[in-house]
Amino acid sequence: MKEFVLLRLLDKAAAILKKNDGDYSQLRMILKVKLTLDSRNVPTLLSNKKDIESRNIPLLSMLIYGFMGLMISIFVWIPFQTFYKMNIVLGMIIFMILATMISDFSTVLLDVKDKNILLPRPIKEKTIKLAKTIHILYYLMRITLTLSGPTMIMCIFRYGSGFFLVLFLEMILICCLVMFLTSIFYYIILSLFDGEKLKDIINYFQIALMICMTIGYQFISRMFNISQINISFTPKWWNYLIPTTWFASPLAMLTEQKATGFYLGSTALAVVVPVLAFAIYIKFIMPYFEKNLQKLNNNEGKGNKGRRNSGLQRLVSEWLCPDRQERAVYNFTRDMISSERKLKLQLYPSLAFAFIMPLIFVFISFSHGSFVEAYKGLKTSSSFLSMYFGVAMASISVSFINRSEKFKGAWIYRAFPVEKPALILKGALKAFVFKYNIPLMTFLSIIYIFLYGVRIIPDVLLMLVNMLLLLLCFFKAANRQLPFSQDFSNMQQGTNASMSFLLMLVAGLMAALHFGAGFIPFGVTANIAVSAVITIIVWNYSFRTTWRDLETDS
Amino acid sequence: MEEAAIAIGDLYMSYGEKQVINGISIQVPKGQIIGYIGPNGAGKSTTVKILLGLINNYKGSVKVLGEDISNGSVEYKRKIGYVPETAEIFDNLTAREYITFLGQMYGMDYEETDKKALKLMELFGIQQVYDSRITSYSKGMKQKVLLISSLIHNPEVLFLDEPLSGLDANSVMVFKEIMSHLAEQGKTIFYSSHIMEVVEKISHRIILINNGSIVADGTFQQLKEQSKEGSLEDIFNQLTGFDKHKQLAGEFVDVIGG
Repeated sequence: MKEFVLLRLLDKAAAILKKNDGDYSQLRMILKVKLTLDSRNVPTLLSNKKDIESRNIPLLSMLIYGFMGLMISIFVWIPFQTFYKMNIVLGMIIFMILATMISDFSTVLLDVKDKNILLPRPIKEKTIKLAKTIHILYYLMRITLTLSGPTMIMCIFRYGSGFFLVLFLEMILICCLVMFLTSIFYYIILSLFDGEKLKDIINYFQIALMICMTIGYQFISRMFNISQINISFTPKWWNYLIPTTWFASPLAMLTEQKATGFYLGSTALAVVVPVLAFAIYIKFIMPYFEKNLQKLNNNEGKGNKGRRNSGLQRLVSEWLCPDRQERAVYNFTRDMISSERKLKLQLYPSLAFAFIMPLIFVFISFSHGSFVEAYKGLKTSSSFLSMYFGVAMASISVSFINRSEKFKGAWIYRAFPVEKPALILKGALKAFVFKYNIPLMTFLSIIYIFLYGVRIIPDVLLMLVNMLLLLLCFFKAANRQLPFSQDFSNMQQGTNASMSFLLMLVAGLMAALHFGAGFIPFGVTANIAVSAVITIIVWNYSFRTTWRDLETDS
Repeated sequence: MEEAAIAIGDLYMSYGEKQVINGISIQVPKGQIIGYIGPNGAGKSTTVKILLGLINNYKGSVKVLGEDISNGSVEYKRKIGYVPETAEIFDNLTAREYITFLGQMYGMDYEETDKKALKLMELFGIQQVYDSRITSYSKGMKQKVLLISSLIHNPEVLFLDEPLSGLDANSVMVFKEIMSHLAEQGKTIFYSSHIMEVVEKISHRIILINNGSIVADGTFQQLKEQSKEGSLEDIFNQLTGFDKHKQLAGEFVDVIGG
């Protein structure tokens, strides 16, 4: 264990308060253990990076949040009215802090383990509570500082140090508010759900955070295009309900040098609400947590009957997998993917990316010229080929199928009376493709057809067939393991990365071919036929894997 | 003589430099409960894993129900049930999802597996968690699911590695009864454990291995006569050449006392 800055600061504080007694050294040790644990805990935003263990995780995550903060700070330079601008900036900062608190810090907020370990020892309950509070505050402050730091610095240059000071004080108030909101969020969830359901909800928040991050970057750069608009602000009553307006108001007053009733009113709210919220948090919500945390480990007999196979699903699986064992794997894969939280956390954002990126390309073309003109242009343009980007991304996501947190459970495959592992691979691949790739891309296709007109239906069909071909090749080339048999941390990222690159290249080639076929009469139809035949051949050829081929991995 | 359920001849196995199994030969007739014991690292689990086909690069002949397991056929696995020592399980699934998956892989019908599994869960008194994720189970519940999933396809040969760990006293009694019923039906049970009292009581025959070789093989009575010790625990200590437990314990207590 190394020494933490926080602990050194605490030592100084303790020296000043002359509190170097037994309780303090206990507090110090508890915090030291907690911080050490944190440094080994991989945060959501880093969860898909490899070889994490050897590096300094807190520093790395700080860098990522810092980068995010830098992106936000760019907004300070947009020639917008201060009030609007600060609303956006503060809104983003608050959202990011809140989302991080909810997704990453749930482990600390909702920790029951430390009680089980600490309470049987001779430690005062007061000390445990204090350690927890300091820990939470420390984390919150670190996140807040990294996220808002760049913005604050930019503000010094843009608006001077007075502005900075107000903003700094506001960040403290925002911390109080975030603390309150996070705990309210958990308060509601804790009283509605327990155990596994709660973990599911936290998981969905983490997924949402990942998606916002990946896609947020794409949007920020596009924001400048709309920055030419200059609207003057007239307050409405409901503006009082938006927290960011409270915090933006004092800043607007500073720059505009005028104090309207609205500004004064919402500035008052900016002070009163967080203070009140924090008081409620300390007085009521904290004790409630202490009492109700036990619920987390509580799973009394509540099952989710909804997960049973429905009739339609059964029919589909029987149609897709005539072989009974293959069908078992098919259903097993469906069940596994929908219940593996860590897998979902990586898979869903990449799928969302595959879905949204092509659409972003389309909307870029909208920003040139007038809307109607651009829309008309779509009817004849070939830019629908941008869907290949989605096709490629969705194909890459197939490689997620061999990963699992519980990869050790994979011994069961070898205990099965299964002659050829191909059966297991086929069943798993079918389940994955029919659960994710096909529905997602069909939906994307419908949007495309809506935008570009029915004329592109053959093209869309071709792209779907090409996706199947692409993902089959990728599955064959990059995936030599049984489903759910690999740990997340020991993925062969190197080969996967080069494979992904190759796949993008092939996708590009396919797009070029597709583009060329468009000029020949019935070219696209012919292309569909060719791609379909190749797909069928590859499908029949690529599953010749034997147990021996898989030997080296176990 | 009737065909043996398990026939191991001159089995050798090494992990790199390290020799784990040093020429083991065992013949097990049908309907026997074998207590397979030995100190940590003696090669017990490795033997079981070889028998299951989880490890392939061994030397020697291994036959299960008359079939040589190295011939590439996996049919014999249909008749085998396995409870691993550590509960390695896809525990994000519910018991229903997990057990029905396994059952179907053994060629059973979904409905049939489902019905059977629920009935067995009921008999173990855990039917209320049938649709909950296995992660949320207590250790005993998890063990019960492992037991059920190893038995769901009515196997002929059972490999049990510490099958009673985490079970309460009543469930232990139930499962011991189950084992003797199964043996009466002609099923073979390969039982490996560190709890000598249980092995002593339930086994028809005890095989003790140490450093990858068999050091004792016979009924409890035979072993007792051989080594002139009173309990299996004493026999175990004697045969594995361990006699320092009193001395070690004394030192341990001294260190605690400072």
